[in-house]
Amino acid sequence: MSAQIVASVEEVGQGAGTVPARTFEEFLESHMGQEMLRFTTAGSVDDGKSTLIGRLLHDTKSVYEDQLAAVKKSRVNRAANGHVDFSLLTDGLKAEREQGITIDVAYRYFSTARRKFIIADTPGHEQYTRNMATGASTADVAIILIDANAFAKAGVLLPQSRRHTYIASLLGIPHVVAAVNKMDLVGYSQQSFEAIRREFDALCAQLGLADEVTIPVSALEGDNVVAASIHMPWYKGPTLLEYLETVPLALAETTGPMRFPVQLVLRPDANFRGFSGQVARGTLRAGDRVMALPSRRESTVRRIVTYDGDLAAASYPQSVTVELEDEIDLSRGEMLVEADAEEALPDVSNRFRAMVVWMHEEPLAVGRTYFAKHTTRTVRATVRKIDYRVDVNSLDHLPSDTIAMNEIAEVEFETNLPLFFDSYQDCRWTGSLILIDTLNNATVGAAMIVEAVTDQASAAAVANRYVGYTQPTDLAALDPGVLAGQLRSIVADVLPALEALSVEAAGQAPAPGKWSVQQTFGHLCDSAMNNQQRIVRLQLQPELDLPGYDQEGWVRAQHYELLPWHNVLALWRILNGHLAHTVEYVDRATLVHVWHYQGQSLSLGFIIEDYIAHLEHHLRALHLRA
Amino acid sequence: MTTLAQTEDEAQQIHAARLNHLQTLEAESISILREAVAEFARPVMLYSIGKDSSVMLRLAQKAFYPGKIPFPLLHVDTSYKFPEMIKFRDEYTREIGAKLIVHRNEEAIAAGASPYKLGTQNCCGLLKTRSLLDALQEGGFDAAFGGARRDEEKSRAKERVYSFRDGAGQWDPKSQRPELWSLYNSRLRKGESIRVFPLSNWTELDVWLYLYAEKIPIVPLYFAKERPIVVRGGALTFVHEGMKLFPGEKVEQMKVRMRSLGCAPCTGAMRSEADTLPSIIEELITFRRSERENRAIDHDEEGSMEVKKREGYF
Repeated sequence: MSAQIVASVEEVGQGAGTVPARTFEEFLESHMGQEMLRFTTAGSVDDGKSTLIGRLLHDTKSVYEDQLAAVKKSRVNRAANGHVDFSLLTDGLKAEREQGITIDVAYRYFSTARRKFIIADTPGHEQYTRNMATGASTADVAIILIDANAFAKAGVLLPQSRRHTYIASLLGIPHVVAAVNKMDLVGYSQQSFEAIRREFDALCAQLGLADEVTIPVSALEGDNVVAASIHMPWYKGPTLLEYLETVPLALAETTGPMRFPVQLVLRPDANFRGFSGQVARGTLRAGDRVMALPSRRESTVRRIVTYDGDLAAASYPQSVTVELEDEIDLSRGEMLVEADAEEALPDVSNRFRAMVVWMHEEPLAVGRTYFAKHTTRTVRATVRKIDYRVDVNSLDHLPSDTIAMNEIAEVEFETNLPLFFDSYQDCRWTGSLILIDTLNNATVGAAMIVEAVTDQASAAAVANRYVGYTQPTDLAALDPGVLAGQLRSIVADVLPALEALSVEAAGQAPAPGKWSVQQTFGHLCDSAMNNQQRIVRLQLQPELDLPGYDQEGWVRAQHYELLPWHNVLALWRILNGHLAHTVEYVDRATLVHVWHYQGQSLSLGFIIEDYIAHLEHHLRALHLRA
Repeated sequence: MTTLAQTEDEAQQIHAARLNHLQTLEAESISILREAVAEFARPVMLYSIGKDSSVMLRLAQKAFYPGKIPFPLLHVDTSYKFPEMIKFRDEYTREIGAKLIVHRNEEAIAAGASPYKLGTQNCCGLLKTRSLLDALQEGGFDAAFGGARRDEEKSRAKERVYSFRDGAGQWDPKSQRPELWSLYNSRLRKGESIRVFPLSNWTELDVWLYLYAEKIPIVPLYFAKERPIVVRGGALTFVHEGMKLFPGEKVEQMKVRMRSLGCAPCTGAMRSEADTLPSIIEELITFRRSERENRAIDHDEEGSMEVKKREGYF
């Protein structure tokens, strides 16, 4: 599937503004000046994706005669009515051809008079989220295949279309185009197309995708793929190829603060010490003041050296070698950035939150350590916390302690050495990293940085500030029966001492404005009542929005100080006995259900464990327990 | 459509900064070469003397300038290569000061291994695949740069830039590591290795355009010239040392050139008038057949390239 451009000057490139070259030398010059556009295609097995790509290659004259002849004489032909099975042009490996599905990302190449294209052809089967993420990671444009006929039957966008669009947004693809395929099967109906477009527009709005278009096509018949359709005169927009030829290329990496990760220190002789690398963002100029990270030592760019001569400036994504004026300490894995621009510095941190696409059979788990390769720097990264897992079909956030293959989650990492990064949204090159298993060396995950985690906002701090007295143990290890037993034995343990307490001692405040023992037990009654609510409700629904309670206010409003001490104590004993009874029969499957509280998602398991820890905290403060 | 360019000045600056496709490919390839040199203990470059190798060699010169290429070149010589290739190899590598290792499976060659006796599959297996794996093992190389491109053949469309090989040098399409962004995983256990393909995203046309733009020397066999040819099995075969004519075959003078270079018995020529780089490019974009069509070895069976890759051949 080569580049073959083939006589493209006359035959293809109907895009606006194409001027046929007059001489072959002019053609060569214009061809060498072409830009490159990378796009990815996402569609499910039956959406006709391979047929679309085959059609694109065939109609841009990018298919060789011998390849086409091989397809025509192939034993396999899944196209009906004597059509050439274009999908055979792209189904690569033998095993896939036999199964009739593509199982791995394949790269295809073609060009027209206007642009050179690289297609990352990614299989859309449910279990291959990782493949789409791979293809999407370098794409400028995502083509989402939507089967018009399937939509007509279902009446809504299929889950896979939602999933593909979500992954495109997650991987930061600047432009998204929905190719509504199989228009021939719905009678080229404008009404059918408009219904899909409305749903797709709504989905893109929900995902924050600003740049999206929808094009009605028939890959099998060739409508609106390369040539405009004669069957859909109502459609006035570009064909798919016209769109690909004219969509403006992303500018995010060429603008913005300069980032130069050092790849290699070149020292061919005693007189030369150069730092080689690829400009990851922005522009580097000779004479610029630069700062090295993490040392924060500054210097000036003396020369930008290349084989073809020195450059005055180098921009994303040029590969160059930089010579500095001063002998500063700088090695592979470190970074040059602009000096004198504090606000333009990347984050320098060893804690960050990232969206992770997991790619390995063995799940990601809290507490595990992986190698993380970020720009040219490889560090050890430990999973501190899984904030939530994303249901890629509903886009809901769910609690989870592990991430299985093809799942996506927001994860908090801590690294052994700091990384210098931007958010992925700001810069794909300095916001992305891969995770590598430390034992078998497999690439197990891909991560897109959301933000640095500061100490104040770190997971432990957040848990303490809100409710926590303990770090939650692994939900899989929690046993409700054991927790109920713990609660009963704590109550039984402290009850004799409390019953022996005098009414005066129970009612005396240790200091002005502090709770007496009686008020503290009033508060513990409130804690039991509130947690009883949470524990019951969370068994009945996976997610709960319930307010917290103002501890001081509740104690005041119920005037616990006016009750007889033994009534308060009896109430506390009965409430905890009932709570233990309730906890004993909690279905373990519901332990992952979450209560959304002040921006945190607290699992039922955590709530039960934390209730007991909270109780013990107060009993310890009263010297009732060690 | 959103744009970050706030002013016309800024927009122009961005326009000026944007690279064309050859510059983009060059920057990517140089980065791949440097990354591998930084991360692997003993890299080597597989040098086939063909046009793709010539491009790869130039990119290596660029990547490590003003230093020299920091790894040796390895040529697996089957003894059936065209004499013009060997002459070019020796002269050119000397000229650029590169270290060259030539490896031959002398045992098989002495035993008379030939495509006529063994068939193309077995001959390739012994003189190319086996020989290559032996050379890599003898040299203790953990990474080998190859000039393969994804657009060459269908099974290569899914090849990674870093292609993982197990301890036996085998390629398993199911155990390849996912590759995202430009972050490559170079971690290996003892005995495992990586084939690194810096030209993965180049097409045949890109290679020719780059040879032209950079004025890179290539073996003269790529240019059309009157040469002695035998038509055999539909292919135009060069008259070469040790070639026996079958009944009915005769030697003819034809103006031909090679589109890709391999072993003389198994690589066909094509009729052509193209004797300069621009005329080759012009021919390429009007010629509608794939470049490996003239390779006898690829047509042994459907999916034969995939079979060879699994065994360790490129």
